[in-house]
Amino acid sequence: MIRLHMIVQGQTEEAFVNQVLVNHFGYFNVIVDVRAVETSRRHGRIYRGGLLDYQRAKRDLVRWMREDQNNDAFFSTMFDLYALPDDFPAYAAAQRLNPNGPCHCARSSLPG
Amino acid sequence: MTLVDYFVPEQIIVVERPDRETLFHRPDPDELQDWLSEYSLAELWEKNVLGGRPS
Repeated sequence: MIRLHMIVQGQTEEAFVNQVLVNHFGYFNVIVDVRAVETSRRHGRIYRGGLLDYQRAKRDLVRWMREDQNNDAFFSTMFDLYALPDDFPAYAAAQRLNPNGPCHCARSSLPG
Repeated sequence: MTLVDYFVPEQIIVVERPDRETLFHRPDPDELQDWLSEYSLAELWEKNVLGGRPS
């Protein structure tokens, strides 16, 4: 049975996956689960929102991918584009795209 | 510190109720070791690595 593992930014995206995506994909017999990158604390200090840390997100994703390497497992992400960190892959190239033009769909593999 | 930070993985039982039954499971300490090198148990609960998230 196909499993879709969602890595998302925080609790808002987690709620969206649980309240919308789980039921939707259930109709297609796809099991969806979700993990968040952000927590309410970092290094013991209370942390209130802000920029997603790309390296942290990448480490989380790679760790999870190591846990489920079966062919029927798929991974996807939901990250807030607002204030996206500039160390995201292809960030500079994305900045050159015309925001008023047709919608671009970018596919690339994780570097390294 | 969150209460769960005072425990080790071997002391945790995760309780979930996906449909109309209650399911209990123990997290795998070996699988958690990699995560624990970067996060505390409380953070792993918030991230839903442990499970048992409020619905």
